[in-house]
Order: sequence, then structure tokens, then C-alpha cells
Amino acid sequence: MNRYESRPEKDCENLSELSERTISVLRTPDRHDRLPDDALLTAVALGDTDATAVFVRRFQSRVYGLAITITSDRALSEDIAQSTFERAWRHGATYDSRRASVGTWLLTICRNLAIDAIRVRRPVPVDPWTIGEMLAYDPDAPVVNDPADGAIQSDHVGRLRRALAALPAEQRRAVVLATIGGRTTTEIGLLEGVGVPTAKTRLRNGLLRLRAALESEVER
Amino acid sequence: MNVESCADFEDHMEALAIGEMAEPESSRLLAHAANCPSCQAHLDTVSGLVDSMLQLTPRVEPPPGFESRVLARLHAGTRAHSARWRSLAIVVACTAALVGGVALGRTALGRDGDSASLSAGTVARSGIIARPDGSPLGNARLVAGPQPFVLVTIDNPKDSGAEVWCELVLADGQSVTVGSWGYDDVAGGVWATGIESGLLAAVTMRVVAADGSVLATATLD
Repeated sequence: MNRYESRPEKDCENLSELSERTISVLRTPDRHDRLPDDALLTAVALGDTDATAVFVRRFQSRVYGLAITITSDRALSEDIAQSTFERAWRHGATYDSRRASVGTWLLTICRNLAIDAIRVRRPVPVDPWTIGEMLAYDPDAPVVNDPADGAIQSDHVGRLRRALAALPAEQRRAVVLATIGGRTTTEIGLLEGVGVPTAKTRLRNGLLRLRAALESEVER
Repeated sequence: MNVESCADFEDHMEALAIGEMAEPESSRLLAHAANCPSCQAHLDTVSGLVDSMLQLTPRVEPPPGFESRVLARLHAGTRAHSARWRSLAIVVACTAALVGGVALGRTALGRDGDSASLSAGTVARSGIIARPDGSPLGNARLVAGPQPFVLVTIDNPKDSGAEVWCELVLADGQSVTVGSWGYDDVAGGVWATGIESGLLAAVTMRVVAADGSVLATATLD
């Protein structure tokens, strides 16, 4: 018997249809595309080559995007992005789904690698175009959801964008530069033309307000 | 820097959370937090916010061939990717399936205390996979969520042998083959594949050989 045939013991059109759809998915090499991030990471950890390819494809633009935002150096960013996937592959067992999504976990690895890289390569490369893009970051822009993101994830990103939009501009810049930009408070002070204490205060107040705004959205 | 008070800690907490603080200051701050639940909770919240912001990272496609270069790099390190790693991966999958009714797809702000409310996936049905003589082979779990999947853990992967097929059987007797695994696929003891949401209602999971004989069965409830 062909193992890819279902074996209905009763006639049921809907279930036959369901079976056919399932079989058709299994016949394609991209069945890993349908796995949630957690299960995909497990498959990557087990050394599944197809799963690893899907994992890289699913996250590469986010990982490379963060690396290039922080370093402004294409060659360095590729190396950081590759190292990020290598670390995920080697250390996936340390991932704890109770603490963060797979995407956030991966981007945190990337952020740490990128910050380490630019601090070794002082002076910090500052590409005015990249910084300009970050400072011009428009939190009011419509959210374009990635089909790969779950509904909960997309909803959270939407709440985050709204909370960020509600911050005073100087606090928003400090938060974006410190988190996505990987800048220190000293660097933020230089970029913004203010002293370090002011940069620290803007970052602190920005994070506090962001937290309060997110909490109030959750309560609503 | 001498971190003796919560006020000192608060002064440097944001720098710690964004990774600005160097050693040995960061260790001193973390040591303070480890002994101060209030500061630790505050640090967790701010660190969570910093991590959360990463979701707004602009997406930039890497240069052509990036995926191939990553895979080649990983392939080069495959030999070092030892059996020890595979056994750790089993722990990941089993933990995900067992702790708190499967903690899958949590949002970035999820923390130990509140993660249950943020769960995007739960075990719909599960059961022990048993051989015809009653001896256990492993466990099967049907996991509901944005993308349902079946997760199979094998207690002793060495027994897996030749390729076998995984069938899910619904209450009315309809059976659907959802995938297959061979020894290499399940050497780490874990196998998973996406399924249609309708199959979350399956009452039985069967492990079937190429000749159609049933090697093991799990009653799912």
C-alpha cells in the first residue's frame, strides 16, 4: 500500500479532502514552512538541514537588518548575521520559550554580537544615512504584518508601535538609538548634542513611559 | 563603582539593560539584583522592553547567497555538533511540551509568572506510544496554536530502525498519514510536523511499518 494514501474506514468527503491537503503538504519539501518557530528551532537543533534552511530564510532579513542598523558595515553585518545563526544552531537548547519569542531571542543574540563588534572596532562607525533612517523612524506608519508572524506577535508589535508613537520625540529617539541602534548613552548624547546625564534621563523616562503605555493597553 | 543601595542600582540599570555596562561593574550590578527581588524585577521589566523593541527592527534582505553561506558554515561545523547537543534538544522539545501546557509562541514580554496567559499553543491531546506488548516507545502530543503540529518523542531512538509512518486516527475511524521518519530523522529522539487543525481531534496515533503493520499505538486524550 502506498503509505501516502489515507485509509478511510468510512466515507467522508471533508476528511478525504483534509487528508489530500495534508498529503500534498507532506509531498513538498517545504513542509517545515508550516512549523511554528519553536518547533522549527527544535528541528534546527536536531541538525535537520531543510529546517535550518527554512529557519534562516524566515529570520534572515530581521537579523541582517538589525546588524546593518547597528554597524552600518555590510561585510561586518553579514559576518554577524552568520554568527547569529551559528549560535542559534549550537545553543538552541538554551532557548526558553517562557521568556521570549524565538525571533526576539535570535535578535538579542545578534544585537549582542553587533555591539561587541562595533566596540572592538572603535571609533564606532556612524553612517549618517542609517542614523537618519532610525531617527526618522515613523511609529505612525501602518504596520505591515509578516505572514510568518503569529497574530499575537503582530498585535504586540502594533501595541509597541503605538506606545512608541506616544513618547516625546527626544525620548523616542533615545529609546530607538539605545535599543535598535545599539548606541551607548554617551553616543546618544553626542548624536543629539546633549550631555550624558540628559541622554540617560531621556532614555530612562522613555522606557518608563513605554512600559506604562504598554501596561495600560494590556489592561484595556 | 560600589553598588550598595537600590538607588545606586537604579542609576545604572538602563545602561545595564542596553548592554552598555562593562565588567566588572555589570557583575556587581547583577550581584545586587540577585539579592534584591525588587531591583531584579525592575531589571527584568526594562530588559524585556529592550528585547521587545527589537521586534521593530527594520528588515533588510542580506546579499544574494547569504542562506547558502550560512548553511555551508553550519555544515562545516556539523562534526562538532555532537550527540550531546542532540540530547539537549530533546530536553528543549520535552520541556516545551510539558511545562505549563506547552509554552509555544509566547510574546517577548512573557515571564515565568505570567506566561500562561500569553501562551499561543497548548497540548490538545497526548498519550504514551506503546508497542503491541505494552512496552512504551515514547510520547505523542498534538499541539494546538497558530500552526498546529504533532510532536513525537522516542524514548530510545536506537530502536527506531527503518522508516516508519505516523498516522492520526479520528473518532470515526478516518486515518491520515501525516509524515514519516527514519532512523536518521529521529536519532535525537524528537520528530515533529505540521498538521491540519482538524487532526487535533485525533484519538489515536499509530506508528506503521512499510508493510502496513502497526508497530505501536498511542491513545490520545
